[in-house]
This record gives sequence, structure tokens and C-alpha cells, in this order.
Amino acid sequence: MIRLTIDNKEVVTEDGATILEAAARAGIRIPTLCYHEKLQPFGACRICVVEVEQMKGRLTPSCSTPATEGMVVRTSSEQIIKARKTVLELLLIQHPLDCPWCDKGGECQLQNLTYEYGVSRNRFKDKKSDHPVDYLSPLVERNTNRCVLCGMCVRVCDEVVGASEWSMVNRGISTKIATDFDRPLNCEFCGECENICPVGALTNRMFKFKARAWEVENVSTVCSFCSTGCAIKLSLKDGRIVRALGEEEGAANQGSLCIKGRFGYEYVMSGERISRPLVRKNGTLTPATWEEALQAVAEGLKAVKEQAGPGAVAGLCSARLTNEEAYLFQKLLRAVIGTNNVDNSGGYAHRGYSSGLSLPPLEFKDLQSCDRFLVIRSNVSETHPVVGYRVNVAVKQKGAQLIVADPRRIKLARFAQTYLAHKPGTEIALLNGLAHTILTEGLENREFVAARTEGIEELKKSLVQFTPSFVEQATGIAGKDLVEAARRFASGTRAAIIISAGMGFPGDDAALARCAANLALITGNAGKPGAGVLFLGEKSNSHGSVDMGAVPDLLPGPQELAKDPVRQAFAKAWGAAIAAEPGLTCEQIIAGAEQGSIKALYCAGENPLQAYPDTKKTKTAFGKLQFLVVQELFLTPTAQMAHVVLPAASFAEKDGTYTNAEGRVQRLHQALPPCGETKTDAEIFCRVAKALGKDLGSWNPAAVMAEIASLAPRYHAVSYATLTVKGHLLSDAADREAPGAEGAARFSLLPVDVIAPEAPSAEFPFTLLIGSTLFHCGTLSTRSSAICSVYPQARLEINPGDARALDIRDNDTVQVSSATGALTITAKIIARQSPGAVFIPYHFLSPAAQELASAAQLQTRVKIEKRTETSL
Amino acid sequence: MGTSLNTVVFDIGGGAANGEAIKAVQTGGPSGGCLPVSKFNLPVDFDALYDAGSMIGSGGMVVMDESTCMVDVAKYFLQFLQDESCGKCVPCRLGIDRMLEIITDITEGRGKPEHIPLLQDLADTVQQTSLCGLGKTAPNPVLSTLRYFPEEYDAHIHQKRCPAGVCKPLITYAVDAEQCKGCGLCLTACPHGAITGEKKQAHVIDPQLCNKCGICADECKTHAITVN
Ligand code: SF4
Ligand code: SF4
Ligand code: SF4
Ligand code: FES
Repeated sequence: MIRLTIDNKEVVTEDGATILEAAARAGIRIPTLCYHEKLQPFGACRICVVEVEQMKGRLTPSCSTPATEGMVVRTSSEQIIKARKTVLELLLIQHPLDCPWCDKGGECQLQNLTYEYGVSRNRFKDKKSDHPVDYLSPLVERNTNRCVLCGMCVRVCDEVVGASEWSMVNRGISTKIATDFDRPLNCEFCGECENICPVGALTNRMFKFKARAWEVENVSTVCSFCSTGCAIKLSLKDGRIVRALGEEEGAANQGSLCIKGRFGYEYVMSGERISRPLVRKNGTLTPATWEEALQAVAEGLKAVKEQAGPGAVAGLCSARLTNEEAYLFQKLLRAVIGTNNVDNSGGYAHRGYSSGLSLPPLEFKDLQSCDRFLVIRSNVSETHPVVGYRVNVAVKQKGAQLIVADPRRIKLARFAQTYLAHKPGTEIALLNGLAHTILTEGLENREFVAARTEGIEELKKSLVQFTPSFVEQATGIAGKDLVEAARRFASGTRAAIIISAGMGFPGDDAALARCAANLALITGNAGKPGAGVLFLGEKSNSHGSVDMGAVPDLLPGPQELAKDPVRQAFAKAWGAAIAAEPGLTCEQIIAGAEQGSIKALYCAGENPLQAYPDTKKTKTAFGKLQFLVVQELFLTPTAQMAHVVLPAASFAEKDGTYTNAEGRVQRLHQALPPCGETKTDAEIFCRVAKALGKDLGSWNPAAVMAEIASLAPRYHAVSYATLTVKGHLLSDAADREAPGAEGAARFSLLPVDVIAPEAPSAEFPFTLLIGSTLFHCGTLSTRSSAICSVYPQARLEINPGDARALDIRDNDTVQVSSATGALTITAKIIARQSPGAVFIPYHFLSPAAQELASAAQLQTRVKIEKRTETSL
Repeated sequence: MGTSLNTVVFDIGGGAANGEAIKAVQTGGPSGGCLPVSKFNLPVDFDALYDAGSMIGSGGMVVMDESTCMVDVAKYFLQFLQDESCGKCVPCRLGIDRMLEIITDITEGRGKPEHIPLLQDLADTVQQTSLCGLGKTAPNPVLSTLRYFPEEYDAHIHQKRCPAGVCKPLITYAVDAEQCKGCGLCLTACPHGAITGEKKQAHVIDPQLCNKCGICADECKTHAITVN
């Protein structure tokens, strides 16, 4: 701790703090133009100068000078003010002063400081800066005439985002920020640079001329895309969202956003939203009143239940419903219909954390204190970009070591000390191989293993076969590289293993999560902040949907359905018997529909026909349903098959909570009235129950959360009355030090066998990797024109060598076929794609990658043919 | 170290080669300061030079005689420093540029009385707030000349005159009729055709056409060309 005096005030601050930080702690504001807490100090603007008694004769920049013991600092004096004013005058000489039409007006630091320091006239004169304005870059507009060269755009893009798109070019008076050769931006389009720019040099094109900053009303809510759960503010003007901002107070993101969070909200206001209920009459979906539609739903469900029993009814919900809605949905199915047949895309991807992972989740902020990362089967920079930023910061700013294992040379591989390009689908062998090497070389944390785990002997036995040479054969990773990675991983003091789940990463999540947990446990990486396994669900409420029991074998909590007392407690609370038999998973529901055992299906926000593997099979299965009700924002392919379509409100039109991947429950606040006649999913579920003659209780989200809190111990302390913008970290996440501690239950080490991927066949020589791109999340983002302006369509990513062998050139049209289906698609030759494998993002309706996939297999094998003119 | 400037300039260096009177020494490289002859008793050491507004810097010295204009010297060094500024911090990037512009105005006859306090102010801020040594010392040529040669600034600003006859926009070439022998050497030499006159008669320079190149003065054997 350091003691110093600032403006006659005694200040105590931690070692390494700068004068600026020490002053901020003491509530003393020092103006800045080039400082940001997320970035390394830069010291360029010199607005933050102060006087330090021990450094007489000059002014000291407070942002880049460490506070030292006994320092005596003055933050304001005639001389300081004179210097600050002069700096402002200098900055204003060439500045165009086009504040009346600058979108930063009202939020511009240069404007604010000019006002604050009363710089009403300028003693210096020169020509105004006259660089051409970049109107070509999508989403971000660049007007370097307004730039003050604070370098924050350059630094945020490099240090945090890791895209390094900007640099400062030229020198002296001709310095400016630019891309290579001043071309338009071709980057991640996260908008972090635009957001951090203190002036109007970089601005948000979606916000252009939409509103003056002081006219908007900001509503704080949570991003609806991935499970990072970034806290956002939606700016509203005249009942429309005019922009989204990262919430600086947000614990998950600390103000950062990715392209989806910043530019993806548009779907909410899309003209394609369904605004009225639709009921199929004479084969066509026809607008209907809510009464008619609810009546039709009740009749359809009742008929099936009466004829074939409640087990013939099933529900699939989106992992984007709020906790309250997911809770009400499973309650509707369990307590009103009487079936456990409820699932979300978890049936495919979320088993990892619902059944495989015994460790509590990690808190994102703690990632920045990790010294080792193992990123495996996780293109985290694209699926959960803001979590990726944390890894970038740890690696690039703080020197953490990074091991990346991925068949594709993903972005993080660029910063990695070790990059393991394994064969697709061999992650388990690789993880087991790492554990084997650590145990045979004696690199494990013996003390931790002995004190806090059980099952080490069984684990050792099960790992015997995973020698480096065996793993080399299975994964294609050279034995020495595996050993090096194992040593690197084990030599850290705090290691995080990052895995993504979701449609973008289908696979055996439970087994993978177990292997990862084993590796973390043998190295003692549990029970301390930042250490352990971070399992990232795909969508905004992937984690919450499991917690809320929107899965066949868990009740809200999640608590095991199989346990009698658990069931009894819910039966009592709901006043309905709950079947002990677990329900059907997604795959089983689709299979059931195909075989005729499932006759009615309720899809709440889920769009299996676009998102689930094997589109053809799903379509046939749904075609056989006696009754399909789809509750949606858009007339998706699934909705088009429905008997009744119920229009639902979007995330911006409702209150509720999401639970993110770190176990943080965060509050959504309604920003807009529901579009047209839409209703929130919560209200619709309650009304459907009512039409079925049952009472689901209130649909008021606060009341529903109170009910959840009373039944789910993990959510016990969650209450709308106390939820702040920082959200609520769930108890097991908060008590992450507890499990396995003295006297408590020990962590289990669970052996896992290797699951060998199928070998490529002569007919289908390529492995198809279906996944997510940076720019999209699920299928929803394809409804946002801003996002589509930078990534409009699925492309096949293929390695240059493979492309050459097939005589495929960039942008050629190719035909891709698997045993399940075929599609034509534009090829993109890209070096990061590993040889022998191709990648297609799955978000799009056409070409729809999922038409090629098969639910029965972990890997999809395909063949690729160039389309010639004649074959077209 | 410790040797006086007098010793270095006159005893070791032997004074001006052309025998002209010495006016100043500039020490420390481009961002050093200019010291007048009255300061030549100072020893060459860090503190003494620093306190006098210059520095040891690179150790280099530029000795200047009476034909040097100190405002022009400040301009010359600022031009160099402006090129050297990396552009990262505001005071150095924009401050040097402004100082140069003001000094240029002064040397070209656009100087105003308020330029002096403005220069002083700006130079102070640049000195106190710049990030690295370049910016912190860049104002030295301005500050030291303002300090030791204020009369030269005054002459440029108030009388629109360059006493050393260096700043072209402020000087005029004329023929001293008394001295002129009417030999016509200047007339033939002038590349701009600005000189007229009959043989054996005093010649005349047309100020409109004169480009102030000074060739005539160099040619004239009788030193009849005057610079004012
Ligand atoms: S939008 Fe994001 S990736 Fe693109 S330049 Fe700005 S900070 Fe970098
Ligand atoms: S564009 Fe904005 S953020 Fe970038 S250097 Fe200029 S003022 Fe700073
Ligand atoms: S998509 Fe994910 S990472 Fe991007 S802003 Fe939304 S929550 Fe954050
Ligand atoms: S904020 Fe300190 S120099 Fe810019």
C-alpha cells in the first residue's frame, strides 16, 4: 500500500497504481483524453498533467506516472490550467469544429473539456484539417479530421480485441490513424474503436444522424446473443432503438461488446416480425385473434393428450427464453400437460455442463489473472468474443501462456505459445493424453489430488493407453508437442480450460467436460479464482435454460428429476404429480415424431428446421405431427410448418433474467412496447395453460423469479428487488472455493474412454466442421441487416492445398454432399482451415449447413465438387 | 568540462574566421539554446548551461557572428525539430508546428506584438508537458533567443526590419549612389533584371523586381550595394 497526498487529501492506494488511479479512488477527478482503464497507459494527450512536489520544474502526466510513497500532488493550479488550456487550443486549431452535425456531440470529450476549461477563443490559427472521410467502411465511419490522436482505437483493437486493424501512420504533424494502405475496414466490426474514440473521428454508422446524445433514453438490459451475457444499454428515441452501448458497470463485459451485441439488435424492429397470431385454415396460415389461436392450441394439445397420453406431447424451447419463461415452459409441460418431454438445444450440445462438469463455473473477470490457458474445441474469439477479449488481455497485456488446440488455425492461435492442430473430433484423446503425460511425468499437484479429489487410481488406470505415441496416432499431434503442451499447462499456477458448446460445436460435451475437469483437478486448478473449466453455452440463456429445468431429466435448480424428494417438492408446489420417468431429448423427440409416438410439439422460439442437424429428417418428422405450435418472432421454416403460430415479444420488449456462462443472473429491462399484437413468452405460456383450464400463476417476471427462488436453492438469493446492473452471481459460482474443501464432498475424477472419430471414406473424403462465425449467433442474427452487411451468406472455408487439388478458386461455386444431403455454396479459400476438413457456418437458411449433418454421427463426412458451367 | 565558453570560442577556436565580431554560441545540438557573448564567461558544464537556458546535449557548438539573425536561427532549428517530432504527444506535435508558424510570420514581416507573449507561453507549455526529451527541449531555441536577443524580435515585429539582414522579406537591396562607379557588373549579374543604369552613372535597383538573392552585392567591387 502506498500513502500519498493529493490536493491536501491523504490517499492510500495499492502498489503500482498511477497518480490518476489513486486520485480517482479518492474521488478526485483529473481530466483525460487518452487514458482508459482497459488499456495500457499511453501518455499522449497531456491533459492529465499535475504538479508533484518531488518533481519540480515540470508538469507530470498522472495517467502514466506511478504513485509513490509520500508524493505530494496538486491536480489543479494556475500553471496546470494554463497548460491544459493550451493543449486544448492546440487540438482545436485544425479540428473542423463541425459539432452541429457530429454524432459524438454531447458525448465528446474534446467538446466537454473545451467547455469545462472555457476555451472560447483560440490564440493559434491554421487551416482546418481536410482529410477525406471514409464512408466506405461498414458500420464504422472514419473522419480523421476530428481525430485527436489519443491512440485509443489503435490500442483497444490491438490490446483488447486482438484484431490490430488500426495503426498510427506517418509521423510528426502528419501522423494519422489508418488501416493498411488506408483501405476500408475489414475487421471484426465490434465497434470497440468507435465506442472508445473520445471524439467524433470514429462513429457508429447505425447511429448516424439518428439522435443527439442528450435526446435518447437509455434502458439497461442484456445482449440476446451469446452466453457471455454482456450488459448493454439500448438508446431509445421516438420509440425506436437507435443504438446499443456496452454497460461499463456490467460485470461480465465491463463495457465491451462484439459486433452482435453492438450492431445486432435490429432484428427487434424488423419488418418481418410476426405481429399477429396465425392459425392454419384450409392449409394456409391465416391471421387470427389471440382467442382463436389460444383456443386452437388448447384443442390441439388436449386432443393429442386425450388420444395418446401426455407422453405424446413434447416441447422444445429456445435457449434465448428468459429464466422465468424457460421455467414457465417446463412447468406448463410438466404440471399442465404432464410430460417431462421438454428440451432445448441442450439435447445436442449442453449436456456438458448439465451432466459432465463437476466444477463450478469461472468468473470472467478472473480470467485476466490466469497464467495458463488451454483453449480446446472453442473458437471463443468468435463464439463468445468478449470472453475472447479477456483471454487477449491476459495473454497480450499480462503475459499469460496460451495453448490452443483446434483443427482450424483460429484467431487465438496467433497469440498462442503452443498451437495443436489436431484432427477434428479427437479432443478427448488429446485431453486424456495431456493428463497422461502430466501424471507419468509427475507434474500433477499431488497435495491437491490427495486432499480434494477422489478416484485418482481409477483415472490413472484408464489413462494408461494414452501415451504420446497413441495420442499422436489418434489426433495427429506429434508426441513431443503433446509433452511440451502438458508441461506448459502443468507449470502454471492458475489455469483455465475453455470449451464452447452449442450448435456451432456439436460433439460429446459431457465426456469432453469430464476430461477437462480431470485435467484441471490433477493440476490443482480448482477452488481458486480463474482456475478450472469454463464451459461456454451458445446462447444468451443456454445456462439458464438448463438451470430452469427446460431439459428432460432435470427440474429447476437444476435438480435431478430422478430424486424422489425433489419431485415431491415440486409436485407440492405446483399441485400436480410429476412423472419420475425422464422425458425425451431433442433427438428423441424428433425421432419420436418420425415414428409417430410424439404427436404434438410445442416449439417456443426454437427453430429446429434451420438449426438442428439433418434438416431433411427433421422436416419429415415434423410433417408427421398431428399438431405443431410454434411461438416465434419470425416466420421461420419451423413456423411455416406450424398449425398455430403465436407471435412472441423479443428480448427488448420484455423484463426478465438471463443466466450467463459464469453463472451470473442478469436483468433484462423492457425497452420497447411489444411489436404489434405480440406478447411475452411468459404471458403466452400462462394463457395457454389457462386455455387448457389450468393456472400457471402470474406471468409477472418478478413473481415468477420469486417462485423459482423458493424452489431452486441455487437461485435462492435472486430477487428483482436486489438485482443491480452487476447481476447476481449464483451461489455455487460465488462459493467456488467450497466444493472439495476440507470436510466437503470431494471432486470426482471420472475416467473417459476415447471416442474415435470415423475415418474418412473414399466417397466422402472431407470432414465437415459446422460451426459459428464471429458475425452471427444462432439463426437470429441473420435477421439483422447491419450484421448481414458484413457477413451476408454462408461460405465454405477450404484450405488452399485442398482447393488447388480440386481446382477450386476463391468464390467458385461448389457442391458439397454428405450421406444426408447436398448443397451448393461459394468457396472461400483460407489458410486457417486445416487440410482435409472444411467449414460451413450453420446460421443461414440457404445454404443451410445442417442439411448435411446427421444427428446420429459426431462427424459429418462430405465430398466436394467444383460446379462447372455445364453442371449448373 | 568546466572550461569557459570564452576559452573554447576565442582561445581554442580562434574567433571568427572572417574576423567579424562574434554574436552567440548555440550549444547542445538543435534543441539547445543560444547564448550571447555576455554569457561566454560561463563554464561548459551541465548545470551552468542548463540554468542559462541551453544545455550540453550532444556537446556540439555552433558559433555565430554578427551576420546571423537570431530569429532566423530559432526558425531554422524549429524546422529541424518539427521534422524530428514523432507526433505522439499533443504539445510536441502541434506546439512545435505553431511555434514555427509564429516565428515564420515574424521573419516574414507578419509579426505582431502579441506574438511574443504567445510564443513564450506556448514554449513554456511545450517544455513542461511534452512526453520525451525532444519535446521538452524543443522550445530552447525560441526561449533562449527571446531571453537574450529580445531586440532582434522587436526589430522584426515593430520596425519590420532584420538587423542582420538575413530575413529576406524584411530587407531591401539598394545602390549607394556615392559609392557606385557605374561599372555595370551588378547589372549583368542580376538574374532578375532588377538593376538599371548607364555606364559610369550610379545604378538603381527596382525593389519590385529584386528577388533579394544578393548576387549583386557579391559582384560589386566597391561595396556600393546596401542591405537594409
Ligand atoms: S471495429 Fe473492432 S476490430 Fe474493427 S477496427 Fe474497430 S476495434 Fe478493431
Ligand atoms: S480516431 Fe478517435 S480513438 Fe482513434 S486516435 Fe483518433 S481520437 Fe483517438
Ligand atoms: S454476442 Fe456475446 S459477446 Fe457479443 S455482445 Fe452479445 S453477449 Fe457479448
Ligand atoms: S490522459 Fe494522460 S496523457 Fe492523455
